Amino acid sequence: MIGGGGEALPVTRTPATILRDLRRTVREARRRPTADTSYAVYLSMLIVLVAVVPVVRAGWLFVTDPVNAVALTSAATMPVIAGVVGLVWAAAVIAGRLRGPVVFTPFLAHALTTSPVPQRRAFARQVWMSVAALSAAGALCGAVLAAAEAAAVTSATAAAAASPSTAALATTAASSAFMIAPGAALGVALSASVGAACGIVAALLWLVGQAVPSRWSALAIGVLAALSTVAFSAQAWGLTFDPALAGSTLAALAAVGAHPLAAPGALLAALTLLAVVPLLLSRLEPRVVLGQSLRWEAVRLHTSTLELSASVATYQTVPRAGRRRFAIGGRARSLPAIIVRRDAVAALRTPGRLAIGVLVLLACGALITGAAVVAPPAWMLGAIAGVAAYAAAGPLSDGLRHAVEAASALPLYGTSDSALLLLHTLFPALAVGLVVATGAVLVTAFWPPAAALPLASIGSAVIVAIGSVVLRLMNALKPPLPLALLTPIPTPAGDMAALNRVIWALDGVLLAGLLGAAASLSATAILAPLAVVAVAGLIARRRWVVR
Amino acid sequence: MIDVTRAEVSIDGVGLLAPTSMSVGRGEIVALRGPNGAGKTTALRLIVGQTTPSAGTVTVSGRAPRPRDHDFRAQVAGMIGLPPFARDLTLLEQATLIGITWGLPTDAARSAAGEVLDELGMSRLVDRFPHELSSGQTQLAGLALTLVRPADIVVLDEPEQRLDDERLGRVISVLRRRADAGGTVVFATHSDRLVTDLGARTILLQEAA
Repeated sequence: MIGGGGEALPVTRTPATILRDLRRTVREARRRPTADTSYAVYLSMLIVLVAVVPVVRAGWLFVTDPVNAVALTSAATMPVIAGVVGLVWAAAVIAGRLRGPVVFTPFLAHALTTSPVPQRRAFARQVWMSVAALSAAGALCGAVLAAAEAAAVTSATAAAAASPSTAALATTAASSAFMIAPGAALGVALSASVGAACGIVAALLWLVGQAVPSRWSALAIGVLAALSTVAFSAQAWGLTFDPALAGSTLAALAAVGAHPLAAPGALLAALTLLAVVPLLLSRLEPRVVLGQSLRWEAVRLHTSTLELSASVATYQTVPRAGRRRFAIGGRARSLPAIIVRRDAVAALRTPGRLAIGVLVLLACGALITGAAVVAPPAWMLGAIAGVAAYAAAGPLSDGLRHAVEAASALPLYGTSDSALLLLHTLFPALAVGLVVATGAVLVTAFWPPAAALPLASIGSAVIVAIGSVVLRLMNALKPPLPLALLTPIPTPAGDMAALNRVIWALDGVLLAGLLGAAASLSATAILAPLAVVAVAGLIARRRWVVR
Repeated sequence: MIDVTRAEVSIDGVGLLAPTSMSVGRGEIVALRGPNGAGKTTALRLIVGQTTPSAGTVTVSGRAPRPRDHDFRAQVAGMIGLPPFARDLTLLEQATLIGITWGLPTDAARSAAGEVLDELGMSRLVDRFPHELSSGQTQLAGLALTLVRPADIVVLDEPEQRLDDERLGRVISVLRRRADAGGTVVFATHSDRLVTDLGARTILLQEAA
């Protein structure tokens, strides 16, 4: 090694000491005062007690409820679980392309990617941490489902003994209990093992998404999504689980498809992927690690100031296609037509993002309209659809965001700020409204239970669509966090100002959920969702006036 | 055309611009110079109406600057920092759309946009999206979007930033032509060449106390 004076320096530092020193430097730089650490611990405990524990308890009660447990662990549900696992794996690869497991602070990323420490060693800790976390999560899911099954069997057996009229339920539960006798710890342990294997596969596919070239990761995503689709449609394909061979209810978790060798398959996949971890780490491009680390730091900073839109925008796809199709003019002559054409062509320039948005909007239309005739609480499905519609309206609302940015800068355009803003609402309102209405019409046309729904049910879906665009506008106009929200609100349970800040940061999502829920209250709900849209409109107007 | 009379800006007792006076006539080219922190950008913000004076007065064509007023918008074009780029439009499309909103027919707006981009040496970049530009190209793109729109007064903050000599020469040519056509150009700069080649009248700002 050559020193600054040109003379050779003895190399005495091993990779292990370099890594240790680097990590210690970062730790010391990030060390917080004791008071800050104590407050963070206090806050974390409060969040766990106030928010996490009730949710976990509600989830546990839901899963172990006899009826739900039977539904969750029946043979018919297994392909669905398998499909979900496949989707989770595909999502892991997608996540790796954006933010893989090997991410550091920008300083450490730079130091490690330019250090003489081999990558397979420098990056290993991040991978094993993700493997540990996701395998633990998978094991927990497996154990919970196995326990749910045990609860179902216990409850149904007891009910059958008490009353012959519930014998049918007992039979169903018993048929779903392939292996786990009530309280059988071995069954829970085996199910947890399969869940852990699935978690390990997810963690390593996350690394695959980060380490392999984008065309290969795209192929992996396609294959996993296709297998997931096969699993979802297993019954339609005539595929069934063989309980005797499956060995465990949670074998389904390991399956990407309805195959009896699912459990060993998941373990084999996990072991294979573990074997190639050193190779993947060696092939990981330093520029990918640096780029992802910088973006993650930006997200962290935006999130700490509750600028969630800026955090999301960090990962927004940039256009690369369609530049030859001139977005301005064409046959359009009037300014509204020109702006609508401009927004439409611009949306087509991120085709993947647009396709996902359109598919989600179609599903939202179907869900909001069909919610009235399905078993789960309609308002819950509606709320999910409302939030999804709000998110999916994003790819169609880029022009709206640009109009807001232009309004707060020195004038470029000859039209007034408000006129430009209104012109840019035309395309998203038309497109989102049309796609959501199509989803609503399709569900009434092709899904018999929804065939008898009145026309107003489609109307409420359209209101959600228009409301999503209004919420997008409201969100685009959101100013920086008002200082007033930083004022402490002391209560016996702690400082409630944080709650206000979270509500402020998530106002769009919360109102979207409320909008969807209001639209699904009944098949003819019109006034309630209109009221939510009006509230969003008033907030947007207020933000526009004081911008 | 632009009259600034003992205008000063301070926030919470901190001076951003010491009392400043200047008068700029039609077709004039004026450079604001001074050390970092002298208030050059603040003075430009006063002229475009992004800041109001704590004391003194600022008028443009006899009226206080009001950026939301249509007549004022039509009269003054400015670039202080980068303008808002549409991330999903190419440079030529953005420049064309700006022309259309100022009343040009589509074909004429496209021609005008192409001309400005060509003058700034960006003919080969017209089909690029903003994220595909280098920092110097981004600066030029910002200038192109600002200069493609009609205006009597052009206000620019350090237009020379990130530009090489050749590109700076093109910017000087474009601003020279603008002034020759009767336009007023006011800019803040640290570039001696920009001031000399444009023959700009210099106003030296002193740091606020």
